[in-house]
Amino acid sequence: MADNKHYAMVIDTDHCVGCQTCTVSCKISNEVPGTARWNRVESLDGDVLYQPTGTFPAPVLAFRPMLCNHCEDPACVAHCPSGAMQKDEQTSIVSVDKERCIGCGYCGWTCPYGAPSMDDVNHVMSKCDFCASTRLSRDAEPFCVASCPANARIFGDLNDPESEVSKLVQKEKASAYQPEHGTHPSVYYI
Amino acid sequence: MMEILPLLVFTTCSGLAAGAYAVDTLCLSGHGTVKGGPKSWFFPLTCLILLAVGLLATLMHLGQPLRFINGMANPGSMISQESYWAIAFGVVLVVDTVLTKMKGEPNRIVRWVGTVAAFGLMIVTSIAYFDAVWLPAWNTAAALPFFVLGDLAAGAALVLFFAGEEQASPLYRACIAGAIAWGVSIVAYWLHLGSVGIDGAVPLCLGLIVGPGVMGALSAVRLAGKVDAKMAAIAVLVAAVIGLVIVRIVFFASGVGF
Repeated sequence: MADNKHYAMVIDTDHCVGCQTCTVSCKISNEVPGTARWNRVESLDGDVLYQPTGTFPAPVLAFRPMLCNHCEDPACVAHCPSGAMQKDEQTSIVSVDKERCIGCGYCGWTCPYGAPSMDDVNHVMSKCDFCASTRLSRDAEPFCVASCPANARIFGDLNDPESEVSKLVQKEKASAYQPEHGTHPSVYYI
Repeated sequence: MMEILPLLVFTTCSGLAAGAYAVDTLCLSGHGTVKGGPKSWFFPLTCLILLAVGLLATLMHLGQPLRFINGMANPGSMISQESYWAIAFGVVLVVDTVLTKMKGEPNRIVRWVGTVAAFGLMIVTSIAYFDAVWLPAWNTAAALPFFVLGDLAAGAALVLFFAGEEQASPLYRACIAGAIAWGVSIVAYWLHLGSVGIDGAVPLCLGLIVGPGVMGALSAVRLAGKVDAKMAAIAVLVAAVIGLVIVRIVFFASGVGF
C-alpha cells in the first residue's frame, strides 16, 4: 500500500515556550465541546506547569505539549469495548466513531497519554484527529501546527522519506514519549 | 461522588454476588447453604438481585446508556469481558434459582458452572482496573487481589448469613481466612498508593479495621462460642459490606476523584 500515509508530528521542546496557543487554537478552531480538550501543555520534567525545575544557577522552564499520539498499536482501540475507537490504515489517524461510542471513558483510562477526552455535551468520547476533516482534507496542517508562534510543531508523512518529520525521526533526533508502553506513538519529541 | 457511585455499586453488588456464590460452592461443595428448606432458593435469588442491581448501576456510568449493547463488541476489552461473564453468571443464577425452587436443593453441576462464571467476573473486573495505565492509582497488580479477595471475603460473610447452624463452623473459618487475605491485599494497595504519592492512609485504615478487622474478630469470637449465632452472622455481614464500601471508595476516588 504505497499510497498509504503515516501522519506524524515532531514537537521541539527547545522551541516550545508554553504559550498554550496550540491548546486555544485547537479548542476554538475545532469547536471542541464542553470541557473536553484535545491539546494540553505540561511541564517537561516537573509536576507543576510554569514552575521551573533544576537548581540555581541552572533552572529549567520547559514544556511538553500533549495530544493524541496516533499510535501504531493504540491502547484506546485495543480496550474500547464498543469498537468506536478506530485506526484508519490509510492515514494512521486514530479517531472515535461518535455514533458508536457508549461514553464509558475506558479509552481515556487505558491510553498512556490520557488523550481521549469526555465530550460532556454529547456524552461521548472525543479526541484529536490531526484535524483530518477540517484541515488535512484541504492539504492544510493541523490548527495546532499552523498556530504555533515558535514553530515547535512539525507535521508530515512518515512514509515520505523526504518529509521533515521523516528526516528528524530517521536521524534519531526525535523520540517517542514513554515508548515502554509499547503503543508505538506517531508523535515524537526533540 | 456521582462520578464513582456507579462503579462502586457495580463492583460491590456484583462482587458480593460472585464472591458469595464461589464461597458457597467451595466451602459447601455445591450442596448449597440451606438444604431442602423454603429458604434454599433465596440464596441464588439474592445473588441474582445483587448482580442485577450492579449491572443497572453500570448504565449510570455510561454517557450513552441506551447504547450499552455496543459495549460487547470487542472481546479483547475487559469491559466487554465483564459483560460476557456477567451475562453468563446471570443466566446460571436464573437457572439455579428456578431449579432450586422446584427441587428444593441446588444442582451441583449448575453451582460449579456458576462458580466458574463468578470467578471469571471477579477476575476480569480487577484486570479492567489494572489496565488503566493513565491512572497510577489503579494501574497496579495489587488491584487484582484487592478486588478478588475483597469479593470472596465479603461473599463468605453473605453465605454465612444464609447458612444453617450446622454449616456455620467452616464458614466462620472461611471468614477468618478471607479477612486475613483481604486485609493483606488492602495493605498492599495502601503501599502502592504511597508509592505513587497518594495519601489514602486514614480511610484505608478505617476500612481495614471495619472490614477485615471486625469481620475476622467477630468470626473468631463466635467460633469460641461467646456470641449469639444469629447476631454474629448479621454483624459479620454488615462489617464486611461497610469495609468493602469504604476501601472501594478510596480506590475509585484515588483514580478519578469524587
